[in-house]
Amino acid sequence: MSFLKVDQVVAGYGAHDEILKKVDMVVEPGEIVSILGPNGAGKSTLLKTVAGLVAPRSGTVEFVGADIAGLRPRDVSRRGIVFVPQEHNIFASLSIEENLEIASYLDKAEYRTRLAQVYARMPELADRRRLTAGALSGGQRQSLAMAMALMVGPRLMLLDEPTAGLSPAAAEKLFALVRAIRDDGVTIAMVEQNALRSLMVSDRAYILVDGRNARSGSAQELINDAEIRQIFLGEK
Amino acid sequence: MELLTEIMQLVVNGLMAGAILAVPAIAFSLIFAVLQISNFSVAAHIAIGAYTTYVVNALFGLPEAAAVVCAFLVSGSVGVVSDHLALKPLRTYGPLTVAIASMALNLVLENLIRFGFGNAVQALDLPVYRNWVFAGVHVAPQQFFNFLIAAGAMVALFCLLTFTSIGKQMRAVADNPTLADIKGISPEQISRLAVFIGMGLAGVGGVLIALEAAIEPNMGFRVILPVFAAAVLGGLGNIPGAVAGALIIGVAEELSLLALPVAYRSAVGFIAIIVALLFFPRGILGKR
Amino acid sequence: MTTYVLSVLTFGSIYALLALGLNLMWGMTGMVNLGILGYYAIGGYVSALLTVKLGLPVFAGMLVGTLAAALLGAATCVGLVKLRDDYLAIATLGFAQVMALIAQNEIWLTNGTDGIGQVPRLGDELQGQSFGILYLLICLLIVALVFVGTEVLRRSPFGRVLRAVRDDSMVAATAGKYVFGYQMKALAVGGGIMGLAGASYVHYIGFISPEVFQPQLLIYIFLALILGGRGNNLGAVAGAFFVVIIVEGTRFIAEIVPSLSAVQIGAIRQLIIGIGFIVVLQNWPRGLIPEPLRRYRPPADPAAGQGSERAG
Repeated sequence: MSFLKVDQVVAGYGAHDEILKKVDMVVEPGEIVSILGPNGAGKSTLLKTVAGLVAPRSGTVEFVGADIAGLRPRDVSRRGIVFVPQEHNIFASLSIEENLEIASYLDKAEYRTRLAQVYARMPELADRRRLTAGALSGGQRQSLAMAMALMVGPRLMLLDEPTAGLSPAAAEKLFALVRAIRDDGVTIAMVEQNALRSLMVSDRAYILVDGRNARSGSAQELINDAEIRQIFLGEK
Repeated sequence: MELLTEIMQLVVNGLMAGAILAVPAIAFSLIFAVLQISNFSVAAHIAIGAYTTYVVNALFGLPEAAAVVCAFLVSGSVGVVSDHLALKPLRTYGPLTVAIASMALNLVLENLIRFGFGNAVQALDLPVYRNWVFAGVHVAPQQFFNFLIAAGAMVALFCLLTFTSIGKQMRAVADNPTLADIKGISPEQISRLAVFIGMGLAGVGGVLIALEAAIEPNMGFRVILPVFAAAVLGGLGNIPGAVAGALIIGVAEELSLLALPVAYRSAVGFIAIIVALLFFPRGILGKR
Repeated sequence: MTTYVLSVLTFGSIYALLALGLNLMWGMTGMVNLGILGYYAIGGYVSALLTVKLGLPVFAGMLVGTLAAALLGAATCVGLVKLRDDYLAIATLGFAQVMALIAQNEIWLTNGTDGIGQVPRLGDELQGQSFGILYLLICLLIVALVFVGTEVLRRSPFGRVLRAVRDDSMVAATAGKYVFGYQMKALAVGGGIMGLAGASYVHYIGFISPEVFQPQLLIYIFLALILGGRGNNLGAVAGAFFVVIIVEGTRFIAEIVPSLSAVQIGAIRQLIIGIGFIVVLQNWPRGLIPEPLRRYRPPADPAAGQGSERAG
């Protein structure tokens, strides 16, 4: 039994719109898995399908043995899968602490403990706890989004382009945070544009092209693959 | 000196009237904030609140406070049921389709009242008190009590949204329903609650209007222009903005008496809408 | 009975004109105008005043009334059209309410709530049914002409631009001034058609008062267009006659139930219309005769987590 198993999933947004055309993916406990591919390949759609934001038209999504395909987002979250969207991933009009409070809705009992942990890990949030979240910088917003995900003690985190729009330094910091979270025992699947950087922190990766699986394998293997380097890293 | 006293009198009257307008205006704005929908049936819910008071107060002889609570509960419940039956199925067609349907819903609710109570103008059975006078400015005690009820309703809503978990959830759904859903909150449940509170407040607004003026089935439609104007002036979905907008319109309506015939008082709302939209397209408090 | 049928059909024609005007503004261009009774009223009032107070011939009155409403439509555009959706709806509703205030209070001009009576009727020298038949024919002729006109407009390049503005807010946002001209023309022509409806009404009834602003008429016209299919001129006309038949039909339904007061019967009729409106919208959102699908479909936005269809 796999931790997360996506099998032959077909999904899209409109009635006639097919973005994922039979995609497979497996994520094992404790892994960091990257989902890579060109624009429009369906990477984000894959995460959203797992998260319950897009209902698959066919195929199955299993999480620790249970079918979660077509569940509502909140019911997926309730099982310990937390999706961090690329944009609009914080409540901009609420204060930072209110964001964290709302984020702990599914596990209120641990609110105090986790709040202390999150603030210890991200002191920049602790300093600004009464500030409106919309006033944060890009990097800080992303930290808050990650902090919100940690408020429920997730088993699996789905990150949609976590470093999009960040400065290289902020992106570096975020990747370090991703590793640290994994080292605490949280499994991670993430979509990234920065393929090389993402492979370097990942254990394995899936490459999607035009809604289909193109390649998959260990991160090391893919980094060393000449064809991959040429397509994604622009090397000749 | 005469003019100054007159202006002060008008400002005081305007603030009192504005506070009453603010109650349905925040109702409209709250529903807009959470559901992103302009619900024109606020007008009928104003009348529902007023008729509830009429039944409770004039027919059963219960006190004002009980009437306010009953009006809140009855119009809030009617709001939830009618929203569920009439408007919710239309949400997938977009907010404007729902807004137009809410006008038809308004027609339905108004005529349900008309069917039950007729067109005759009703009034509440209220004792008349002597006016209080401060530095030449007259304040009717009834007017002042209404002001207190309105202020109480606004403070209650403010506290709910700021300090309680359910209020924060409501603001979260208003801000970003998809993310709220990911975080475990049911946007549908919160929307239902927002409609209940919103339409309940519209009903309380109806009570306040009923205490000042007459009760008739289309009473809501007669005040809807300044109510919408207050919400627009404050920025749709901005609740403190709606309060500020209502106070401004209340005062502007009274001050307009210095320059315009009384019949055109309600045109002030329209002028306020145009001015607001030309100069403060996001509302005077400039959010969203 | 014949007189009654004639009058129902004449009202159907007047509603059809209003629905055609609304279709141009809302159906084809996507501007939600809740102030349509303002144009209807000004067409009626101007024509009534010119014929009663200045003794102008009816045709001249109707022409000037139509033009006045068209001007008002263009003027609305200047003030309001930049507003988006909900704001536009609220602002236009306010606009009609202010028009109603003027009609009620400028007694020197409009006689206030007493209204203007003794308005010359077209073909008044004819008696009884002959008048009814003649007037119905005139109205049907007007509807036919306006229908042909708006249909030509819809199929023209002008109509295509209007639909592009409606279907893609990006076009409206980026093309700015260019689009403004089109919206102004749509509001002016649409307003003019509604003014013509008002003028046709006043010279049929021979009387006009602020009662023309009754909010249910606004609902009837939106219902007519929604029933007929937004964007579809033929649907607008069919929908209008259908609504008049329903409205009149409810009169008989109400009479079946005994021991109801006149007010209660009136309330039941409005209830049926209101509920019917919602039922139609829930079950046939694109109308009974949908607009032929030939329009540009914007691609689905993958960033928008859930499908949010734009309508209205």
